[in-house]
Amino acid sequence: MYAGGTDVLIRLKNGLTQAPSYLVDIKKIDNLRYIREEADGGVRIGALTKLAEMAESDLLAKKYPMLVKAIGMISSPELRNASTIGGDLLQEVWCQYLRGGYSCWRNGGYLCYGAIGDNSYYHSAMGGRLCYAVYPGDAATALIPFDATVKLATPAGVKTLTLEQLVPGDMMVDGRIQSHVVRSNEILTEVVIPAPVPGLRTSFEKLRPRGVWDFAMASLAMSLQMQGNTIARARVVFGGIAGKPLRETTVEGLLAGRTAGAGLAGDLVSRALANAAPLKYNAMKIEMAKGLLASGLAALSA
Amino acid sequence: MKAVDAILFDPVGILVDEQGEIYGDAAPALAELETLGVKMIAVTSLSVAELTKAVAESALSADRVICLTHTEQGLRAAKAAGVHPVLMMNDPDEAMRLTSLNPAGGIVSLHELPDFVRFIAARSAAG
Repeated sequence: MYAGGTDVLIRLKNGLTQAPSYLVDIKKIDNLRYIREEADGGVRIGALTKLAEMAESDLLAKKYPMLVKAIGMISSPELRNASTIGGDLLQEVWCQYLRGGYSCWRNGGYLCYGAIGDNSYYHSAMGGRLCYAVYPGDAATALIPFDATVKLATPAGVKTLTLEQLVPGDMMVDGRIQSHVVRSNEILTEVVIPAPVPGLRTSFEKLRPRGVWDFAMASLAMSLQMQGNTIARARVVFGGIAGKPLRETTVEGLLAGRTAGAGLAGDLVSRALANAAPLKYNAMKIEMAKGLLASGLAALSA
Repeated sequence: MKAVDAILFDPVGILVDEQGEIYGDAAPALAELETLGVKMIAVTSLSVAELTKAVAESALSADRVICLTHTEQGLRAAKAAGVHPVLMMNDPDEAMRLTSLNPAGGIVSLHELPDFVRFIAARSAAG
């Protein structure tokens, strides 16, 4: 199934074993292409909405500026004009060994070449489960701090999942390894974002080799729910360093109850990502992620 | 590979290091494999004769047996014995070199081994 085609058509061109044999073009289903405000103040986004439409949406900019920033940093303008939010959430990993046709876990084989080869860019620094490629999507990382959910149309009816449930990392689904849980007979139809809560501070930053096009070496989406100057609840989500958008729940717990202000990062940066397990060439991803945490907390404390 | 009933291995480099220290991921992996009904069969050397003998004594089909090894000798012996050689990728550079021998698979850590077994079954079931 494809709409924007910026992932699956490339897999077909590359002749990957795991590329689909048949395509169903859904991009003309206009009922799945919308950005709609709900009566409760939340927003619903159809799965076929283009990333460019999200990046240019006044409604999203007003309610979720961090999300708009993150979407605007995905790839390049040309690709954002073609790519859909559904495709971004469910995209295949961009490991150079997979895309280069190596017989890896995701391409009919039983071995991860990224774990033993050049893993400086596209691979996890937080361990793996057979496949060590990172989940490359920015949208999921940026949606988690808003507690967004998605809807799937399935043969058994509509299913609602959180973003963490949608993209839990390497999963065995229908005899395949993939980053998400969507089965071949299911369609992602909608993203639902709850109404923004007063006192919510958010930030998104992304480090990549070039200013456009590239995937994240590391990224960080954060939200701090403030009550006065006290942090009532935090969401800290790293992208580009693991097989899924990685919530740093230890840091989230440590942030709760603290007072925002200078020095907030303090001990938190050194305590973040304690379970890091970098591969031979990607330890810098952890340092990048910690740097993003320090700068993000400083920005949200200002 | 359609399914894995047993895993042949030389403990050194797989369960314990050269000094005999057991790897931290060994015990949980072995326990999980036991629940999957997979036999773990230790051999004293990865020679063709020893592997062939181990398969014969286990009364298992060689096509459903893998040999976990981190060495070139192990890979070659497993192939000659008719079992599936699976590379334990302890050293990345050496492992990448050994992929030229076309192992049937590879894992980075023992904790992946139960998933390896499950995935072979799942892929086989999915056709």
